Amino acid sequence: MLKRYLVIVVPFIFLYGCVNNIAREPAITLPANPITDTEAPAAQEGAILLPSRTSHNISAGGNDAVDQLLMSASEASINQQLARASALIERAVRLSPQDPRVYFSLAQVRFKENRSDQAYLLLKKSQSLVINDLQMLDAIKKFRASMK
Amino acid sequence: MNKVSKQIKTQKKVKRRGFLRRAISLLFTPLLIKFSIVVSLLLAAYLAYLDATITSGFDNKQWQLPARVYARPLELYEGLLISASEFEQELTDLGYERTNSARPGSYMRQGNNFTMSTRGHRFWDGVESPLRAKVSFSGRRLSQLRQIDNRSLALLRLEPMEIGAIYPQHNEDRIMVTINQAPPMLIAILLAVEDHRFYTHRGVSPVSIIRAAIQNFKSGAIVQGGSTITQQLVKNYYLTLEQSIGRKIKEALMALLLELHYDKEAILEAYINEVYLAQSDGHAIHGFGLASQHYFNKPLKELSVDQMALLVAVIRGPNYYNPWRHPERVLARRNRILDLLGKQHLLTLDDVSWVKSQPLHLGKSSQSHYAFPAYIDLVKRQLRQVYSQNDLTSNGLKIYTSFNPRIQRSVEHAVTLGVNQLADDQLQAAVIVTQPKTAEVLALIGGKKFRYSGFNRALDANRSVGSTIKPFIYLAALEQPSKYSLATLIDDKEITIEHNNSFWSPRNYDRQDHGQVPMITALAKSYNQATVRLGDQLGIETVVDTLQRSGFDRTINPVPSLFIGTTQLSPWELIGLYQTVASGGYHVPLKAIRAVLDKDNQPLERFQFELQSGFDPKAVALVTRGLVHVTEQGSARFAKKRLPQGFTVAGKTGTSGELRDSWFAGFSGDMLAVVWLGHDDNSPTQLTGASGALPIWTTLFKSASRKSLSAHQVRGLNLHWVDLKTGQPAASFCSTAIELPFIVGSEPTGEKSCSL
Repeated sequence: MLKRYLVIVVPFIFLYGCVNNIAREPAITLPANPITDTEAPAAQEGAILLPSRTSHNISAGGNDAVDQLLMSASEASINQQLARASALIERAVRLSPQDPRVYFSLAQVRFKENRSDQAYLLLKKSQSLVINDLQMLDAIKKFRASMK
Repeated sequence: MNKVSKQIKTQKKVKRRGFLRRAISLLFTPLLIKFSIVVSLLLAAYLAYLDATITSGFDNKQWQLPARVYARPLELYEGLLISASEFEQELTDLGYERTNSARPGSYMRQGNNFTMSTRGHRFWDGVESPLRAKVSFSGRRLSQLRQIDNRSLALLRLEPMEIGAIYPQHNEDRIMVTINQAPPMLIAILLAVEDHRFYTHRGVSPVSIIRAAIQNFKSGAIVQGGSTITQQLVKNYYLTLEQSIGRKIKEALMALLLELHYDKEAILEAYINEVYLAQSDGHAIHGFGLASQHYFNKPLKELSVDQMALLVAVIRGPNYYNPWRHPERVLARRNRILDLLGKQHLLTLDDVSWVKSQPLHLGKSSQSHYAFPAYIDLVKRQLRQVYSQNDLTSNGLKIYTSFNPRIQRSVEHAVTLGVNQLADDQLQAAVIVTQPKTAEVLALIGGKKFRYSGFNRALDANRSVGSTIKPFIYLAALEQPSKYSLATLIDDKEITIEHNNSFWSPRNYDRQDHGQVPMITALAKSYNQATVRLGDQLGIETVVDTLQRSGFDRTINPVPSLFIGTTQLSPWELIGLYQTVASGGYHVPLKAIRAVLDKDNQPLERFQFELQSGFDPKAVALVTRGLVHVTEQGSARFAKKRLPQGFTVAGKTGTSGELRDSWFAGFSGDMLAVVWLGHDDNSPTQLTGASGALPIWTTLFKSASRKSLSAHQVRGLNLHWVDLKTGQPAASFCSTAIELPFIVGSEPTGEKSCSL
């Protein structure tokens, strides 16, 4: 199941890299996975930027479950099903409330829902949970810049 | 003599002929014709009226469906912290049957390994399909989750347990089922017992009426009814329970009319949803759908033949055949029905014999479904902000909450144990448990009698919160890192504050002065004098502002005694304040409801996760460190002694004046809880926060909390060793040294030393 989602998500990451500099509505995109980071990844428009797991943000368990939910949310976001995307990410928040990725993902959906105030707060919350993960911090920073 | 008698006979014949002639002539008099026409018209009008009543009533029948309230669905994934026995309890609560069968709603257990078949459920974010899965546990951890064919399975969501309902005024309750959803065997049993000519009669069955009349005549009492299912439906739908010839005629006429307009399936479907089958907690249970849950704690489609026969058995008298109160009666009737099924060849005689040997197979008493009145009260209040009373009680809404039955059980166990040990009959209790990050309400009790609704102390008891308010004074200070850190010394000598031309001199609980103490010590030991001095330095407006930014939305009386918690808050308001600390500085509004679906499972409302700006996470991290110190070396060190080694928690005791209220508010990595104990008449309890509420809180966290508060680092904080006596830098080996976090730039400077 997880592999199937990876097959869907990795091309998004590639696409994201290709169109990253094109001025457009900030996409809900998937940030680099370490495996594909050097491959100029890109994401399909509407996909959720999903930073890779790092050791510090792995909670007591359920990371595959969180990944699955975030990837399903990304699919929903691509299909403009933002309410469903939001609901799926909130499930991920319940499973792993210390994981900065879940708040980052939710921030992207809120921004797409034109709720910038919530998006900013969620980015801030996400950032407060990141320790020594420059890739994650960079993704947050870039996304915040794209919101302006 | 013969002549006389002949004359008399002749006269009688003449008289008879005369009477007949007169009667015939009368029949055709204009008056009688008119009278007959009037009667016919009246009868036709009456029939038209009955017909209109039937059709409009049946077509427009709006079943008043109560809102159903569900607990959180259990999400299964590898790493979930739950034991095998707790998991089995969850399955039992959901009515899963331990059996070798693979049908939905069943499971097998071998040691710590389970094989289960889920039922599936439609949630607000999509459908969870029925699935067969293998689940294994290691200690208190779900160690493996696989599909039945060993394919990987990242996540599996069980269906949610129903925890209550919100009823319409007439207190009818039902779960709607269509005729296609009802098991064919149940319909066959129903017709065999109640109306085996159902598909051949036209609403009324003269044969059945005559048979019943003969039977009743023979018995000298009414032992059998001749009413068809259509008549029974008419009686329940439109008529009163009055027993009279007039009503019976009306019932028969309406039954005939009903069958003229509607087909048998529609009538049968209405019947299986209308038939009265039980009384529970003041609610009338109608229809087989809910009766199945009521009697067996499982959906209708999962019933066995003996259970279906029992459902049909109770139709004759749900009270008389109450299976919990009169098991022998209902067993006898159920077995008579099974014999009847054998005679009608619906079951083989072998099957009849085997099924009759089965016990009643009842679920647990349905009262356990409606056992959380205080939590349901909270749900109602939150829903009323969005829905009208009519929507809530009549439209079959499905309310999905964050209620966690495992944690609720732990709360009830801890309170029962704690209150019993305190041996005070008048003592009351309230407890609220939330998730620290998402602010979802997981469990709640509003008094020590958990099953009684009434005054909900968790939401409505406004009581002086005592020292539980103090962390917010320290938070206000720590937001100013240029002036305050956990090591900043505060003078704990006696203090007098002038306010509104009066003087106020609070004393410490131990009546001692403690001199210069670091802020972390003043918080941990709950020193009143140091805290009031700190509050006075900050200014009352600053403290009020801190409370309001933490989520307190009532007007606060800005008096100095606020610094030691003379302010009255409800447990709900207090946990709202602590939520802001536990969530890392963001105020997250408390919520019990996740989503609402309509009766057709279409999403109506989702209550989203919302953040509100609150405090600098660094300042909140410092207060949290102070609260950890409270539980390790301060007024709540009892918690550290009782909890597993290395399990970190943070919290604060509270005691109001003259020991009227005993509070503890605290959190771990996965739970935040406020416990209150006190008397309803506000008389003294002889309890402090540490001797009353804290032991209950500790028992609760020992059994229910699974995640220690992590030593999560916050960016912008550094750790330094300081001397607890002087607040100055210290070497780590000093006996009074403690490692504390500091906002960069606020750490004490100078030579490291050890105090003597």
